[in-house]
Amino acid sequence: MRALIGVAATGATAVVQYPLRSVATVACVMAVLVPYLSGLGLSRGIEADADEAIRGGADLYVTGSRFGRDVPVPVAAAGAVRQIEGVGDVIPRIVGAVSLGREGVDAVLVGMPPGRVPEAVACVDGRLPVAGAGRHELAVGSELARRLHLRVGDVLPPFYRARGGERLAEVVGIFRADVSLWQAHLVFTTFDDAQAIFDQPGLATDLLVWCRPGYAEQVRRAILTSVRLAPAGAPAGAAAEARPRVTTRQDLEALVPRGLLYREGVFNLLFVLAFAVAILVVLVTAGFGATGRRREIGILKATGWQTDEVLLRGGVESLLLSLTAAAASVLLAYAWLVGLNGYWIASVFLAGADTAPGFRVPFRLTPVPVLLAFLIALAIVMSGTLYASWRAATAPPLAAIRSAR
Amino acid sequence: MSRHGPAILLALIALLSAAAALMLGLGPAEPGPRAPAFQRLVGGLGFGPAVAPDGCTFNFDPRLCPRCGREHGPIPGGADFCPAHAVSVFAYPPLPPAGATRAE
Repeated sequence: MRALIGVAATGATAVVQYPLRSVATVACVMAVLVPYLSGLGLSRGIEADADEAIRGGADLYVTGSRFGRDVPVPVAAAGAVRQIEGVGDVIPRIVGAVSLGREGVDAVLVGMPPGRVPEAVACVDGRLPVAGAGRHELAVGSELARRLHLRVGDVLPPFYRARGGERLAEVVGIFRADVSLWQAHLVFTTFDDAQAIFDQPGLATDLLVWCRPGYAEQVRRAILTSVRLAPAGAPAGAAAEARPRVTTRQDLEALVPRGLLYREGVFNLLFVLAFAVAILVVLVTAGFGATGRRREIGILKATGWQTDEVLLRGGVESLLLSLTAAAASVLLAYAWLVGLNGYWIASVFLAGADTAPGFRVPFRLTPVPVLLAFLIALAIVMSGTLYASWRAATAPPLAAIRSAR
Repeated sequence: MSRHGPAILLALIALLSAAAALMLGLGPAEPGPRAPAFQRLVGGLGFGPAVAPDGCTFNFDPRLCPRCGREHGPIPGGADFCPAHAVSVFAYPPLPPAGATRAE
């Protein structure tokens, strides 16, 4: 046993003996592991933020459906939903896409009744929009404000067309960068202002329904069977009537664990290819110092070492190299995603993000992906180095020494 | 090669591994403290790895669009035709059809 430990200890000597080869191998593995860990860390971070979005949202989201596509709902339908037993509150909401500035920067405009969440003032620098102002009042996302050089108090010329005429808009608040990933391109305003901007009076994108505990499923069924989504004054069953569509909190929660499994099929597939390439690259880098290695193995065999001892030495060397690569990759991924806030790499994985993100990049490293990264590193390094060691160890010692000349 | 080279190497690897383990413990585990108020303000907004709904609204928030318009599922690999999903770090399936829940 002591002899085996002695043989294993020479693995550390082998790492130091060929520094160029060791550094090249660690660098090759890190080139694959750092983006892999960054992607997994971002994925976990988005998952945590998505959980928060589900918790902070409504129990039910009611929209209209026609020909399998979502359509707006009449605001008047909120009254009918309120009458259903078990309903706590119903809020109409408008969510739509707008383009701002000369460059036409895409943004998502959300209109909600004002003053609903008093503590939300802490989310913005400035204040939240209020109803009844002469101009439209807007709170804009941090990345949007940076791209368009907007500050609190700036006035925007009309960026929409409406039958009732257009109005100026004033930036009254800018969302703080650490609030959420999804505030980056957000334009928040009051419900009335959103209706005016989209020129859709009497309509909302969806109705947000909060239910009393235990009533969500009952309310969902009641909405599907009894609520009419027809324009005001239209007769029952009119062609203009849309069917209600209800998305529950449970529907959204069910997406999260399935999302993780789904990601493994898409995201990991790409990295399987990257790992396969990395093995070939490590095989090439194993060529650094290969002459010395063959001569050394030949001498070891000539002095009585067995093939399994040579492989054990090579295995310990691979273990140390892969441990170094995995640990350094974790540190580098952490520094990149947290210290540098995902400069460049966040824009690779997050659609629409700037090279230097104007929001706090969600990132969460957990032990399982790190363990996985270590095992992958081990597999890459061992596949790349053990074959070369085995070839040299199974050759006659004299032939190994001669071939190394 | 120094006689203490392997010992120094092992010490460095141990230090590197300890630092990596420490980072795992220190990492930001939850969304920021203002995140709950923001989500209550907007009634729950955002879900996927996109900062705006341009390109693929479903990738931004499935509440706004229950399925990707560019998904061509029956074709092999067709689910990934949408550029927003091809390298997605957080992909998810479409919501159930109108009037149904996953429990049914």
